[in-house]
Amino acid sequence: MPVRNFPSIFFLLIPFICFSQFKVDDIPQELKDGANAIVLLDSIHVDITSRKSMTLSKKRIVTVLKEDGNSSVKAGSSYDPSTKIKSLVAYIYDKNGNEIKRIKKNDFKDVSAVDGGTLYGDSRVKYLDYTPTSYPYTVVFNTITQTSNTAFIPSWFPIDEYHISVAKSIYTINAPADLKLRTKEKNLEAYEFDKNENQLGYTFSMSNIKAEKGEQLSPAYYTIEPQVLFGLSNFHLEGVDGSAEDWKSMGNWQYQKLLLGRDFLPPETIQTITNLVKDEKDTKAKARKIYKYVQDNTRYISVQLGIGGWMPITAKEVDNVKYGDCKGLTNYTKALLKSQGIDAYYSVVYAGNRKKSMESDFASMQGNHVILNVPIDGEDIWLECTSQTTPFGFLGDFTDDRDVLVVKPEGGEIKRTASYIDKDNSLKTTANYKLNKNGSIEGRVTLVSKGMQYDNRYYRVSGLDDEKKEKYYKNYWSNIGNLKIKEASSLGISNPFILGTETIELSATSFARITDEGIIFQINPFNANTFVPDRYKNRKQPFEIARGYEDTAEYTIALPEGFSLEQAPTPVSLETKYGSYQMTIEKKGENKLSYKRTVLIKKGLYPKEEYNDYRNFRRKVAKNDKLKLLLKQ
Amino acid sequence: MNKKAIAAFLMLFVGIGTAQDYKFRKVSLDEVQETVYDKDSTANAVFLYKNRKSYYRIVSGVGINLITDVHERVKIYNKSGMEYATKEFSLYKDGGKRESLTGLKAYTYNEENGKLAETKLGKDGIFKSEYSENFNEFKFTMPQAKKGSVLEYKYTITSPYYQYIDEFVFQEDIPTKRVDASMSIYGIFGFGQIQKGFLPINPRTETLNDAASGFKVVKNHYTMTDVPALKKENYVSNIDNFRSAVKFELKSVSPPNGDTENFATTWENVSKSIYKSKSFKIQMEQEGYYKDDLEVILAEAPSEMDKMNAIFAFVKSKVKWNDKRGVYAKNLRKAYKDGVGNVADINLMLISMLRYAKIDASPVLVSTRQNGIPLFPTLQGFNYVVAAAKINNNRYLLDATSPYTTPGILPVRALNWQGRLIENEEVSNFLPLVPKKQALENITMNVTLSDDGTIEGKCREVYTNHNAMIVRSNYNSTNEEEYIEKLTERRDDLEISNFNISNNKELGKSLMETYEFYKEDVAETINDKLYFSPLFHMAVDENPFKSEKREYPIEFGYPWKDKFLVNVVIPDGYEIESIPEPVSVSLPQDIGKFRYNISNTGGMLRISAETSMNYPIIPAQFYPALKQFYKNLVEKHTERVVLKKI
Repeated sequence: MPVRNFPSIFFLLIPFICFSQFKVDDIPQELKDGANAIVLLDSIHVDITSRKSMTLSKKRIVTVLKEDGNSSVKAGSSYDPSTKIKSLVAYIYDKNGNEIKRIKKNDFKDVSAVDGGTLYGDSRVKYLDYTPTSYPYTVVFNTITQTSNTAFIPSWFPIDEYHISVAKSIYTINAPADLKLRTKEKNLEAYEFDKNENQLGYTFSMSNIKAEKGEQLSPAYYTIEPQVLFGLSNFHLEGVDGSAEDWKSMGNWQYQKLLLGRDFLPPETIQTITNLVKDEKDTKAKARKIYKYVQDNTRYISVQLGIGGWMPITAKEVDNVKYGDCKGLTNYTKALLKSQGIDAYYSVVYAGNRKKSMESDFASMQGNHVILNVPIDGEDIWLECTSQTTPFGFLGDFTDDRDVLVVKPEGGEIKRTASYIDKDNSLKTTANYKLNKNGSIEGRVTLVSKGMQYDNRYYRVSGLDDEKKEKYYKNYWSNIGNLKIKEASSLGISNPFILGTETIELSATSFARITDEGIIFQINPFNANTFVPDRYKNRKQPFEIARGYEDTAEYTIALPEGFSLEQAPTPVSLETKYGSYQMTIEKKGENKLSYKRTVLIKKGLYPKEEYNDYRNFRRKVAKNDKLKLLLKQ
Repeated sequence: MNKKAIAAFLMLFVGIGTAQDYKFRKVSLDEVQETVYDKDSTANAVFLYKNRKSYYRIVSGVGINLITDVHERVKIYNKSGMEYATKEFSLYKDGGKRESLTGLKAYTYNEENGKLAETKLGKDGIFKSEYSENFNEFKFTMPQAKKGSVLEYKYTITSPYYQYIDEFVFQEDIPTKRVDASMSIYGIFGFGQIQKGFLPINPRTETLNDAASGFKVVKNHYTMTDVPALKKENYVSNIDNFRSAVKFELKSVSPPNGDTENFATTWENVSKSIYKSKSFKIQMEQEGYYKDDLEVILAEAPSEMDKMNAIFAFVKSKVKWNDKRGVYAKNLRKAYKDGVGNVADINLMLISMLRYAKIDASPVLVSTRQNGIPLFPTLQGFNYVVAAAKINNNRYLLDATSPYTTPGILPVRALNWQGRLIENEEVSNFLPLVPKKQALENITMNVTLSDDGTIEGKCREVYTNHNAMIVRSNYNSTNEEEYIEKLTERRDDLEISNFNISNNKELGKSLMETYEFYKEDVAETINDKLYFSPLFHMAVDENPFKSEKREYPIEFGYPWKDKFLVNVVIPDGYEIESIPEPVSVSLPQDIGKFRYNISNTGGMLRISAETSMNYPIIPAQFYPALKQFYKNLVEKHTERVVLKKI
């Protein structure tokens, strides 16, 4: 059978690096520069022989130069009830290329591979537990696993992490033609790579990739990282066959096989919900109440077993125990809404504070989280059902502004979640403070936050007890010496719009400096935008402002008796394509100052050539926000 | 009624009035309706009741089992308290033996329509798995748990490892309203017990006859009420050292018809018992496997000091630590051959070789910071061993598990109060582990300031002792480029170029780094005047002690001294208008001090600032003084020089 033999013959050709080459001295210097480890070879061979059989052969050869490079050895193989490890072996070589140890399958450590956030799961890992006796050393790792799941095919990512270089990365895949193997190449334009295609599959390879280092404000790496994605149009997942060529059919399959019939609720629960919303006429108000009910009555507990990794537990089960994972809680909320005639759709998303979209033109099993889409009167409302505190319709930076798969009975649809951009993410700092002769201040500060600033500060602060709140503010205003928080309260509203208000009564003993000439103080102590991005002599990556924000500050400052500002500084106004800055200081009578300042930072992806322009803008903002005034007697 | 009777009556009355029913499944509606804990309104959850009974049972064919019955009732006040709705257990196993958890019964109580509603934990909320070779996991999560819920569960843990009694923990991270506990011990076992923490624990003891075994049983009862939550703080090496608890340790066994076997009645006995074990003394006595290699090394080392250094370096290069702790060696010969071993393999080998070279060397038993402070004679109290070598009446502590330790400088994990030095089978003594030598950070900067607020210059950083160990470990574990990135971060985003390091591997010498730097916007302009802190990025600009009060000692780990010397060339066209006043501030009892000196010589500023802490641990009573000390320090370090345009 030539068809079956082809891949294994090909695979035998791969050990092109003969063992004598593990001599560290022979590795080109350019791969050692700035590297903690060198991946001499990263080879993945995917052999799909039928809809229910995929064999993964991995070979990875890593030379570790420094202790921090140990984590890039990655000599581990995961398994679960439908994935078996066929072979597993590792060899250790010293820096001269002499074999010093051989680790057989049974000498690998075998542990549960359930992550910290999951209560229970069935995935396990066998990993190499090796204590290096000297550096550098080389690990050759080979493993073959076999699985009946063909819904997930590993992608090809030729570039490793920062500070790791790669001598050669190679990926081959073959699949029977009737399963219809599809690929998507991304971000490969700027790279030299080899690609071979035949009727059975593909081979991709890339060589001599130097170690890179991270740069501030770089775009999320996977958005610029070269990669090739793979998928089958006819696949198998944990006992269920699937067929999908596009998102419409993929969504349809998910609906039919993973969701349908799992939304039954006990009549008593439906009665409770009916009573709960009976006084509400408006659909949105009903949905709001139902979401609150879910938040008050359930909690997030993650259990992942077999198909349960993709199929929610039934709404009835969630109703019974009052907990579930993202799938279970989303499906439950959907069922509760449905009981009141409100349509809602299970939506698959890549969650994380760096935005990642589902590949809108390439349908395959993607995503790592589920949220709920509720279209009401032409408006898309998105619900995060695992949170007990997120306001109705608010997503936050975990799932905002990205393409998700909305699973509808008639098929899947790619939609973009709510975005929070520039002025949507506002923080208004209002303060009335009194400066005393001895340099101390006392006053009241009010912070009103919206959008991401609501998410990142109010949402966090409001959940803290008094002691932690005090710590939080002392840290937030660490620029103010010996700060004392007299009282701090917070109040959030979520209807008709979402905003959080914090009110803080404070004082500080060593705020201003007393000099022979007078009193010197920082006029904007509560909202100084002092961030300046690092300087790079040779910036390599573009930079991104992922969401943008607007900070405004308005203060009234009472000056100590007998002291005054000789002359108010001239107003500052800066306009750039990255944002703007305005600041004015006015004298109000002899004894008072009024301070107004607005910083706007705009979302955008900019070329590396403009990095310094942006940096200069931020320098000016920082300098102006740190402005100090001299009060004379 | 006399006064006593009235008092008794009142007490009875009060007793009835607030009586709680702690019987299993006797949760009250009041408990479910309670919305806040009156004694600590910050509590997310509270243990309304905890009960633990531990006792022995003889199982025919198996032997002695230690049985622990647990019953707990938890109130959830808010969503953050929900973590108490899930319980996780690691159950140990090895060979044919294993711990097991049985008899789990659990209920959630909620208010429904003004009434108490009970939900039973079902099988679907219980999860068992094999975590690794030596541990099984057992987890359960409560159904219908929400804000306001009261959760109640009981279970039994059966352990064949009867000599190991888990600590009786009376103080949790959340408050506990009442805890009852008892430990029943067969009379044939001699156990020692010790109390931890600041709260008073008053045990009551009775002696009973156990019909099943025929043994006498000693039963210790404990009851505590209104136990506050244990709160974490900075500069505490291990908060568990301060947690209220009782620990038990097997000291002896006296079989009915046999001789008493003593394990650990005194520190001497503990030391002896460890020393005599097969995994300790005998391991150290074998020399054959290294003899030939060592002779070669010793031939090059004339003095005792040379020999010690050579052997120390040899063991470090020969055997690497596999991160495993313990006082018992596995196999020294194998560790030597494989180049990998646990801490006892490595340091007992070191002692063996030192002794072979006729150097007076002894093992020192240590409890790591993670393991807590050993409070009383206990075999389990020690989990680490280092070496002590005596040369010319000076004693050097040695630990070969880390490549960057030096004589007298132990890794931070081992810096836990005191260790037990075992001179020989008969004699052992306590020995402080913390070094007397200060860890020095000595920084010299030559800075040129421009009128736009930019600084440029050269810097030299010198480190000794623990500071040198930490910097070496950071530098050598990564590539230089990444190290510089981290240094940049540590130095407040200073741009660094022409970086050079000396003695990163030469442990006997001071570690030195030199580099050039550049930073923008460090001086401010106000009305034609330039203001800057002359320590620039080296200034301590934040008080690490923010809490108003503190109950625990402040642990720095080792004594230290930071010395900064800065020379500043001021920009052309400016003259010095004012400079900060020199100052010197001391903490009471010579605990520490800081000095700040500044002089202006011909338009060049010279600043010298020195801060030192002479003790590794500072008692809590000095906290207010230390906080004030840092307040002064921060004020001085951030005080500005003023330059005036000429």
